[in-house]
Amino acid sequence: MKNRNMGLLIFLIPIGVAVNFVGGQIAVLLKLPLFLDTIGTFTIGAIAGPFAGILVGLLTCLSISITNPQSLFYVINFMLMGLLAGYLAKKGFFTTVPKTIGAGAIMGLIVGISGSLISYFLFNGFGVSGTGVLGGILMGSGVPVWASAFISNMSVDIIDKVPTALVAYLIIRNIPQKTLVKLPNGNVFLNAYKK
Amino acid sequence: MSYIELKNVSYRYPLAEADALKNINYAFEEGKLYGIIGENGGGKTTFCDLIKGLIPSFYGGDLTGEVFIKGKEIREWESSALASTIGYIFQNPFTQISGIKETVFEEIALGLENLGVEREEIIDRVINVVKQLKIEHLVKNNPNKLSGGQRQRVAFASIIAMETDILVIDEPTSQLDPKGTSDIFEIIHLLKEQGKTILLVEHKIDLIAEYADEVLVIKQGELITNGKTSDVFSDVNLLNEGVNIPQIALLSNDMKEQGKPFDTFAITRSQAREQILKKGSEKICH
Amino acid sequence: MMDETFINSYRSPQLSKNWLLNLNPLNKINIYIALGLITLFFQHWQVNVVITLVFILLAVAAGCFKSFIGPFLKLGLVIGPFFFIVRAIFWPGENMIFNYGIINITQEGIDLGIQYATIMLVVCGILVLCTVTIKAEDLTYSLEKIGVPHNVSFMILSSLQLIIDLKDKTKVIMDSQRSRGIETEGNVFVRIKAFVPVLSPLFLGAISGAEEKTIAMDARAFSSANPNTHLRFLRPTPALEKILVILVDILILGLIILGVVL
Ligand SMILES: Nc1ncnc2c1ncn2[C@@H]1O[C@H](COP(=O)(O)OP(=O)(O)OP(=O)(O)O)[C@@H](O)[C@H]1O
Ligand SMILES: [Mg+2]
Repeated sequence: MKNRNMGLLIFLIPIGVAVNFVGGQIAVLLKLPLFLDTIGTFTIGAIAGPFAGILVGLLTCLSISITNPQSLFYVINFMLMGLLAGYLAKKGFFTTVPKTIGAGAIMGLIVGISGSLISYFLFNGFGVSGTGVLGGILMGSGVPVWASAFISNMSVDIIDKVPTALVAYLIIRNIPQKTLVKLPNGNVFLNAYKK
Repeated sequence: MSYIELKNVSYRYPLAEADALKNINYAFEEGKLYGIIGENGGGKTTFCDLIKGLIPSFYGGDLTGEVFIKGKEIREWESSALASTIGYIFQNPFTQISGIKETVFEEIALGLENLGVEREEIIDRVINVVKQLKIEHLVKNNPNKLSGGQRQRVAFASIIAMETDILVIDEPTSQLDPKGTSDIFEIIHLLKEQGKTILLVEHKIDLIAEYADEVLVIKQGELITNGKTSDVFSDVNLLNEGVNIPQIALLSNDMKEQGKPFDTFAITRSQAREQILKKGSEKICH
Repeated sequence: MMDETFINSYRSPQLSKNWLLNLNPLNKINIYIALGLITLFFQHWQVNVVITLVFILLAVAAGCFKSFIGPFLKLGLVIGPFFFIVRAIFWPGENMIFNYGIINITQEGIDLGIQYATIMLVVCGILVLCTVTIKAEDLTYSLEKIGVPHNVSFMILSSLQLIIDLKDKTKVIMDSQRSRGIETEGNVFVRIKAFVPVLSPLFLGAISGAEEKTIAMDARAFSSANPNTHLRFLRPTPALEKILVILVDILILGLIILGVVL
């Protein structure tokens, strides 16, 4: 009989999408200076692998666009985060706090670069949220457009993605072993916890 | 040929230190209702998952021995063929609703759609179960907005609509009130009348005493006792195995110890009433 | 007694009285996006405004004006001005109109701002129009009809439902945390500390639910290899509709070529 764990992935992906939503919402309700709206992508990507992560990112982007149309143009970024979470987790990055911070920083950096490129080529260097204002202030102070785009996007991403990765780490630590064994990246975590 | 047969079955979950099922041998017959009881963590759910074909394909781990469903080894079954042969209903009414359908009618139809059943037949079958389970008033409702008890009924309906010959039912009433519980048992009784083979895990021991033909007692992964319901419950030593015994069975036992046994060992209220009435009238005659 | 008309509604394709709403969801999306693409080839804000108006007219034609205009204005009136203002006051241009500190209003900035603000109106128009004229389950139905596996439908529909469910649960958990004395207000660190206890029971609960759901859906033949049937269905696309969509696409392509040539 064919393996049924494919099914489990299909049920986890919507959870990642919904958690992205509520994470962002809770951050707003608690008036946190962070987005924290990619925790689902990080966590599901990390435990269920890059492909699942990409799907979480894609579906999140599509459903968020309904209330936040600008997001649509950053769809690559949404997917990139899932891909990176899955890939880095496979390399053991989400198994300890220091490594998780490293993963968050790497992801913030890469996503920041790709976000800046999108902002630069599609939106004249202006981000589409608070980053746009930040970028604008930099431009207004005489910083070149490309540099403003990079600085504004990257700083925001790195500040947000490290705590996001840490929350994902905490969640993963509390996922029961019996669930982890059924997931593509599960063994990475189980082996690391054994030590 | 037995309907469901387990031969020397042992199973260990991945990462587990001990076997969750230990060398189980048993043959189930067609058309009977089997009560599966035993202390918490004994392995009842594992046993159900095994027969549903989820072990090892979903859980992983080490399965030894053989499980035959209608003569075919479980590992050789196609998952869709198995889904149309064995229905599975469990405790949590919330996870059994798909979350992708807008009406209860469509929710009940989902399994049939997946099996590729034609539309007219889907409609007929859904209408039938809806009537059987008396949930006509719910068909238009959004399944994601029902109460726990209503969801459990819809979950039952969704599985019954698939018209499987075998039903595995794991603690269906633990989240329900007494009314909901007796409704569900009415349905289970109805299914048995229709000739289904039913494996039922249930902690409410009086209900097992009333409805089960045979009882299996599982403790620490072992099948420690099995047999006809009245025989199993007439052994009060079962109490030492962490299994409850119906109050009526205890009463029958007391009577026996007092030297005034019932003619037949009663395990349900109606049996006891019959016996007592009989005894009473005998007395009057004397 | 069961409602006969309700049951019969599954015997015929889902149709409304409105011709536009009855178009195949994929054809709707095709038309909306094709219209939207025009903006990219004519770099005139007036064109963008016209297309936005076309979207509003389409909403009227679909009989959805009321449900369309609210969300559209709410989005458009935030996003449009935002896109305009950041460009108008920060974009470094040559033709200075006003300068004070970092504020640097130039003609180029204003032009760019109007251009982008109106493009974003078009984008908002497409998205809001999609949400008010297309039901998610109709979209997944037509995707399955062109060969997209039903797992994908499940993921889309399930995401939408889970967002609703988890949002409700968030409220419940936050209220109970508050009543248990866990602080959800105070300085930033207090509030950050409150975040994880709210999110993690939600998330972990959902993950353990996913295992049970896998089992429950498996019992409903979810992993069946047979092609599945559909109880609820849409009409096959009429020939006239196909021709209409092709004509619209050709027309728009023509316009675009015209725009590029001019
Ligand atoms: N997925 C799993 N991975 C590892 N061990 C498990 C898993 N599920 C159950 N177990 C263990 O297997 C044993 C049998 O559990 P099972 O759930 O089958 O018992 P049960 O009789 O159904 O209990 P209850 O009456 O509480 O429902 C227990 O020791 C349990 O901890
Ligand atoms: Mg159990």
